Amino acid sequence: MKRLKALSMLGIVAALLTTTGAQAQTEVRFARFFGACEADFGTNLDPSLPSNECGVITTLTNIFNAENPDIKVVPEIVEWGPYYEQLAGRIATGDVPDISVMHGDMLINFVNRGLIEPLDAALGEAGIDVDDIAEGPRENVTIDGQIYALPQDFVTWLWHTNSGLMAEAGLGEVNAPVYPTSADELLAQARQFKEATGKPYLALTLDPTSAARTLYTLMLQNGTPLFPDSIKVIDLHSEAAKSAITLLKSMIDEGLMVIKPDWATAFTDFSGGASGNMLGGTWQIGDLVRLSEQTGGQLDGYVAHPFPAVFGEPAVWTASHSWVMLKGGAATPEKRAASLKFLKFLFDNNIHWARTGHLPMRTSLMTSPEFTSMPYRLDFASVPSIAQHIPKDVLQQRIIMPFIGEELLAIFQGQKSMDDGIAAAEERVNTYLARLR
Amino acid sequence: MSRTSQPGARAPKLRTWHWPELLFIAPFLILYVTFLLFPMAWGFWMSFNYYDLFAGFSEYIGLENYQQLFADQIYRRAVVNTFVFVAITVPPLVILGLLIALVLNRQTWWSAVLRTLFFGSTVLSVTIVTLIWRGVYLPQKGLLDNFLNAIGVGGIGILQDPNLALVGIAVTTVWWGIGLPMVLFLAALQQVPGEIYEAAKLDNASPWQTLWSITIPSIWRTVVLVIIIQIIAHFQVFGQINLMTGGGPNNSTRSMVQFIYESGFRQWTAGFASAAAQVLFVIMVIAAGLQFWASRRKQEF
Repeated sequence: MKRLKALSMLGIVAALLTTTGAQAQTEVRFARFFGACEADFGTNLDPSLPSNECGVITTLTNIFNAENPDIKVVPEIVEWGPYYEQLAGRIATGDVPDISVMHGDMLINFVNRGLIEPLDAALGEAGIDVDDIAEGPRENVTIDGQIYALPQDFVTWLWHTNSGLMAEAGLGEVNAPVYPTSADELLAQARQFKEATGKPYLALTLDPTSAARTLYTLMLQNGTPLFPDSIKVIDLHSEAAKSAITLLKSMIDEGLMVIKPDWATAFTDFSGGASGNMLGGTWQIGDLVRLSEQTGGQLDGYVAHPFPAVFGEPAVWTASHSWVMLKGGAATPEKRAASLKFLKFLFDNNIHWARTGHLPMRTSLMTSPEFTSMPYRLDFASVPSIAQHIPKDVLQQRIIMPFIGEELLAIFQGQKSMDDGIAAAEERVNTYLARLR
Repeated sequence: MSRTSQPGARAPKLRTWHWPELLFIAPFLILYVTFLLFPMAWGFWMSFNYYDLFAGFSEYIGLENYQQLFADQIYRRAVVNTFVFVAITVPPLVILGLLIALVLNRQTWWSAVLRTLFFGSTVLSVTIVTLIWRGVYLPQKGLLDNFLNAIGVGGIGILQDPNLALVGIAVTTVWWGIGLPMVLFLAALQQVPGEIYEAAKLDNASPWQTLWSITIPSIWRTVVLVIIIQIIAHFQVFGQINLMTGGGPNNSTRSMVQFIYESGFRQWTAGFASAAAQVLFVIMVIAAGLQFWASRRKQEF
């Protein structure tokens, strides 16, 4: 009987200890997209292993949790597509996460509604050196003089290149391809490539956002703004816009550029050596590196290069991922302290994020050997100086860019004339922006 | 002569409600009002407002949402697309469903197997169905293009062609949804008394005469039910379009429900989306009403 009592007491003490331990652990609810990859990286603590967004952020979260036993960061993962609908729904119902990922271009929509806490004081409190954040991303999250988010990267538009195929066509050497520096050179090189290999020089995906980013980049290079007079009215009737569309359309008509039906096909075809270059983003570098290593030489000498300056001065569309603290989240001092500690950790480990292909947002990392020695990246050091965000005050950029892109794709595929497509894009965007309060 | 027409007769008095009776229907009534009538009324009110769901802000703007809606080219195209989709999806579903039911309405092992097979696609989720059919329609590498290449026709990117994309989605939808009409028709066919068919045989009626004069009149109510169900269901087409084409190419497949979803949840213009929803509601009520009216007229048939 005594033994039973002793065992019962031991059990109660153990249960109490466990409960106390659980209570002492502060939970940080971390809303994000980037996907779920617990099967591959659920317990991984080695940041050098993953090379895509999901793997890196999962690993960083694991490391933070392992290093901070008093804090538990709990990822709340939502698919990329409906992320903002879901986040807005959570805010409306009062179920607010402590830290949330947010594209920099979405920030204004939440700040205007008073849904995000300014972070100026919090970043100082966390010991984050704001001056080390590159000017572009920092400016992009600063609204009315207040910083509303901690940027995580430069996301940019670029050319994925099969330098082996390019070398075959006499356009440079493996791992050192030659890129055009003007529209005429672009056409000449594309024709040379097509003649030598029988393949298209460039591949674009049937993804409206991709088409819009390409046009926006070309307009930036020409120095022609998309929003010349007001952040609520786009102008695609400029000479620059029309010339850019004409250039792209003529490349498609001539078979120098091909439109792939979706990203999966575009990836498979490019890694199988179906074209010299593919238009894409920094977030795809990790996956293409992996594919290039699996294709047995068809994607020979894969490299990524900032969008060449074919339309004027070097310039490229950019965006940033960032971390925000929504109003109503991190409601207790413990949660706030734990959340800030996690933000500081992400800031300190920003270099690992660069493994995904994105550029780090810390100026001090741009020239560090850790970043400059990363393979497959050509001339990435130039990106911070040429990358330009869409004006941050433009509302709902993730809606209007696809509007533009859908009409561009209709033009490229011959479903609309250029004038009709341009007029339709302007009408859709301008009407929508005018509708917003 | 009826009682009411008798001089001096008192009009029949309607029974008054008793509280216990109301209590019995109260659970349903509360749920019905809370989750159907109230949201419908709220949605109707929202359609006259600029309504920001997330900021909790609204502003009365009268008919502005409706004016913008009818001036919106994308919306007008979505309405046309939806009507075309209903027109090319409902007849095959009804006719094919009936034909399959007629063929499989017998007590043999193979008809049982085929009934299960035909119904099998219906239990799949929209995600699976669209994955399968995207694979079929994939340009150059898909099943369809491989087949067309093999017979020398050459590949076609159905989902990339604005003239074919909606047809491609309609085919997917018919493949997916054929099971329900088939089962409903089978159930109806099994209710038709065998003696009528025996009498028709004795009268030397041809199979066509039997079908037209006995079978279809006997199951007419089910035919109408299937038509109404399919019309209502396909006016609300969304999932397969959203997953297969996202409304493209060149807006050739965007449906009314997709437009409502995009306006309300992606573009954050809930009042505008509500106006579009009201129009869809009216169209569906009219379509269902017309079918109901037609079915009553055909009762004598």
